[in-house]
Parts: sequence; structure tokens; C-alpha cells
Amino acid sequence: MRRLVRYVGLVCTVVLLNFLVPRLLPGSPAAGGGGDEAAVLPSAAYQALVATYHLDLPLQAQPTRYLAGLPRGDLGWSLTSHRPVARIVVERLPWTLLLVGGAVVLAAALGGALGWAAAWHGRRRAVRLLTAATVGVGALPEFLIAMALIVAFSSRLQLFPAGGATTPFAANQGLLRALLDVAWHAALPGLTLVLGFTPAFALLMRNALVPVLGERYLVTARAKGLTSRRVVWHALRNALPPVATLLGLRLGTAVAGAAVVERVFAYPGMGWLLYEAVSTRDYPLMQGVFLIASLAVLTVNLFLDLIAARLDPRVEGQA
Amino acid sequence: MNASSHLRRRRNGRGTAAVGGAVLVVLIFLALAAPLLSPEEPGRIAGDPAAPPDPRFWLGTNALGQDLFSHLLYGARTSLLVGFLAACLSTGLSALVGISAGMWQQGQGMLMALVDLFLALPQVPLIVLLVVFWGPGFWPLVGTLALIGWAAFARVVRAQVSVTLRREYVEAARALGATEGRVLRAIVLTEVAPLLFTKFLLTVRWAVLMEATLGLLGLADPGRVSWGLVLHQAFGYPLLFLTDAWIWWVVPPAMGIVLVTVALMAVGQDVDLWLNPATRPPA
Repeated sequence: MRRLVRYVGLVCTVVLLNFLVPRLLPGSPAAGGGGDEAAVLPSAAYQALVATYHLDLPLQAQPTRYLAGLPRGDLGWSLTSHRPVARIVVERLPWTLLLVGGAVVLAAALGGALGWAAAWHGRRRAVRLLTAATVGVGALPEFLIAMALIVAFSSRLQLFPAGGATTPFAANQGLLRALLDVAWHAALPGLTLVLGFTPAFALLMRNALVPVLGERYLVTARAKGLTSRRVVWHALRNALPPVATLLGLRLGTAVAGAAVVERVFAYPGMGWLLYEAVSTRDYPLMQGVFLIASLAVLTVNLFLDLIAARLDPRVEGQA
Repeated sequence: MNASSHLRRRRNGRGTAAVGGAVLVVLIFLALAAPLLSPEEPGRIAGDPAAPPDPRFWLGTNALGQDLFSHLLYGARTSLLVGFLAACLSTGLSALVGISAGMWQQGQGMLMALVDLFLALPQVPLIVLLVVFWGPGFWPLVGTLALIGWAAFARVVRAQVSVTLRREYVEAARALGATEGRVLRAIVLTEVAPLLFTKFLLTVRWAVLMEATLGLLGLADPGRVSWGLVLHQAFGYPLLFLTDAWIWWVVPPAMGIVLVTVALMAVGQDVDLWLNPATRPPA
């Protein structure tokens, strides 16, 4: 119950922040970059800004109007595409959920397996090499991996497209072809993200398992004559809470998209939307992305808090 | 056998730290000496646009015909400075909030709520929002990164402070009449210093990477050449992957970032061993 109150407080703060940031920080979008000499905005854009921020109302009336609009899904009016921000976000969200969400789940599975191998068979040379490689990949910036993949698989071998999410008109050739086309386009950006996300999962899994391996209850489990699969499960059960937490956090931030990867691959998700909003200085759109992303993260955090006790019964006592 | 392997491991640690430190020193030197070493003014249009490397332009030119080798050096200057300043400021904030929350019982709840708020928000969109409304530029960038980077470590610092304050020698010091100020200076700061140093190194790394990320999103300071700005211009060039331009345009600044990252990691690990004997591998 106390947690619920805390989350309501956090949500209120996010909304408040979204309301205050454009009004408090120096520089005004309506002045087109600040100062008297700044470019004059086209009147349509100015109208959209006034409508989004309710600038025609006195300051004390602005927050009520802003708040009244939110539950109705009114996130403002995009300056560049002249459509409601909420509608644009709804169009982009599925792509990001597919790409980034899918990559997070794959990376969790892959990283979990790698971490388990590193903890269980840590002395084997192949496993050690694999662990070192994982850590090495983790040190590379995402755009470098993205670029390497584009150069290798797109420019040189021409196996995968370098950008976009679909081939135009692919949807006309039947559902199967359309799905294959989507997967084909998601392959390289997805692989980049999987490579980027995996090391954290692998390290976490390994670090959670290593201290458990020396525990007596595992010796007991073996001595009882349990199959090795059951023994592994005994150990994994202990590594589950931190890995599940990381998975949840990553899924939460996935809604914000992967700005760099989506920009490099021109993938039409939330990250690319954020990039478009920034490069055209579409302030209402930026704020819409921020608000949706924050709410998603908060929702996931709340959910994680609620199931924490399920995953790890020891949490109950501390709460 | 055990003792010797322990020694060997420690010596190995020293070796990587020395290499990491040397790499950092070279990078910092190149950054500081950029105006002397650069063959061209970074802003000058010196050659043909998007030319491949030749004896005059070692790394070719960008789409405007500016020398990319000079951009690499000047970029190191800006990127490392952003990393350094943002890390200084955010380490200071972590220390301030963490130590205050640890030592000042009444304010703890409020300060930790602030930390929770910063940790609960999605990082990249928040940074983008702040930089955009603050106005892209050098100081907004540094300020935003400092403002976003402190929260996680403030929590670690607070935990360390409250563990320290419960130790018996603190109680002894207090019983002997040590003032709060003395406890803070003589005990708390010494206990927290290694943590803060680790946090500083981690944050330099994060800020340099973040500068590049924001650069890719078009939020680098347009008035100063940085690695982020070079990357932004490179990825805005339509023929980047259709020609070999990426080799001399994207790879050098990317390698710069990787070098900074790896060097800081190497230094950090050894400093950690040196400052904090508890993490030394058991003999």
C-alpha cells in the first residue's frame, strides 16, 4: 500500500516535470531558439505551440488545462506532422516493442545461458573465451556494433537491408511474406541490441550463481541423488530475482526505444521518433515521448515491486 | 603456489592499469595539444568535400571539406572535457546527497525520494528533454549529464556512510568528544573517498559515451567539434556506407571512445584493488 502511494507520487512528479521543464528552463520554443533576433515561427507552428501549452491562458490556468487533457490522451499537437502527438506515438510504439522488447527477451535468454555456463563450467577454455568476448562486446559503443553489422551484412554481403522496417508493398504479398519481411528488416538492429544487452545479463547471472555454488544445500541436493537438472534448478532459483529485475527494468526502458540503434538503422520506433522530434525541434512530440516512456518505466517498477516477494520470499521481511 | 599466483595476479593488475593510465595520458596530451598538432583549423574548409585520406588530410575530409584528423584531435578535447567536468560535478552531487542522507537522519527520507525520482525516469529521453529545452551547447550538456548521473551512486555512498557510522570506532571517537564535523572529515570522507573515485572514473566513461549518443541524436554543441558532432555529421552523410568513408570518418572517433572506456576500466580495477583491500583476490 505504501509503495502504491509512492508510485502515485512519482507519476505526479513526472507529469509536473513535463509541465514545468519547458516553462522553467531558459529559451522558448515559441521564440524559435531564443532572443529577439531569432527566426520568426510560421504562424501555424506558433498556433500549435499555443494550443499545446495553453499559452493563451493565464499561468495559473495552464496546469489545470494540461492535466484535464492528459486522461483524454491529449498529449498536444505535433508541430511538424500536424497531427495529435498521441496518435503518432501509438503508430510507433508497436515497432519499438517488437524490436527492443524482442531483443531484451532474447538477450536475457542468451545472457542467462552464458552466465550459467560461465558459473557452472567456468574452467573450460571455450567458456572462458566466451565470457571474455561477452565482456569485450559490452565495452563497445552500440553505434560501432551497428556500423560493423551494416558494413558486413548490408554493404558487403548485401544479405540484409541497412534500414527501414518493411519493404514497401510487402504487405500485399500475403501475411507470411509480410512477417518474413518484418523479421528480415529487424534482424540487424535486433542483433545490435542483443549484443548490447547480453553482457549485463550474463554478468549478473554469473555473479548471482557463483556464491550459490559453494552453498551446502547444493551438496545436499546432490547427495540426495537428485538429477543434475534438478540441482541446476536449485541454484538458478536463487539467481532468478536479480535477473528478473534487470529484465523488467530493460523492458520498461524498451518503450523509450533505442535511440541510437533506431537512428542508425532508420527504424521507425520510439527512439527514431525522439530523434525526429529533436532534429525538427518538435517540442510537444518530444514531451509526449518522454511522458509515455516515463509512465512505462514507472509501471514496470511498480510491477517488479509487487512480484518481488513472489520471486524471493526473503524480501517479505524487509518490506 | 597459492601465494605466487596471488602475487602474479596483482602484478598483472598493475600492468593493465599502467597501460590504461598510459593510454589516458596520451589521449589527454593529444587533446590538450590539439591546437598545436592539428594541421588545419577545425572550422576551415580546407579541401574537397568527402575526400579520402591523402598525405595532406590524413583522415580525409567531411562533407564540408573540413579536415577530419583535426576534428579527431579537437573532438577529443571537447569530449574528454565534457566527460571530466560532468564527472566532477556529478561525483560532487553524489557525495553531497549521499553523505547528507547518511549523516542527517531527518532529511534522509526526502533526499532518498529525490534519488528514487531520478532513478525511476528513463535516462535518454530525460537527458534529451533537458538538453533541448536548456538549449544545445557545451554547458547545458555538462550540466544535464551531471544532473542525471549522480543518483545511483548517492545511494551507494549513503549505504557506506550509514555502515561506517555504526562502527565501534566511530562510537569511540564520539565518546571521546569528536564533533560531527570531525567525524565527517576524519572518518566518513576517508571511508567514502575510494567509492567516489570509482564513481568518478565510471562517470567519465559514461559521459563520454553519452556525449557521442547525444551527438548522434543531433544534440552535440554545434559550436565546438566533439566526437559526438563528428559522428552526427558522418551518419548524416548519405554515402557513408556506400563508399569506404566510414573507415576514416566513423572508426577513428569510435576507437577513441573505446580507448577511453577500456583505459578507464583498466585503471579503475587496479585503483579499486589498491584502495579497497577487501576486493583483492584471496590468497
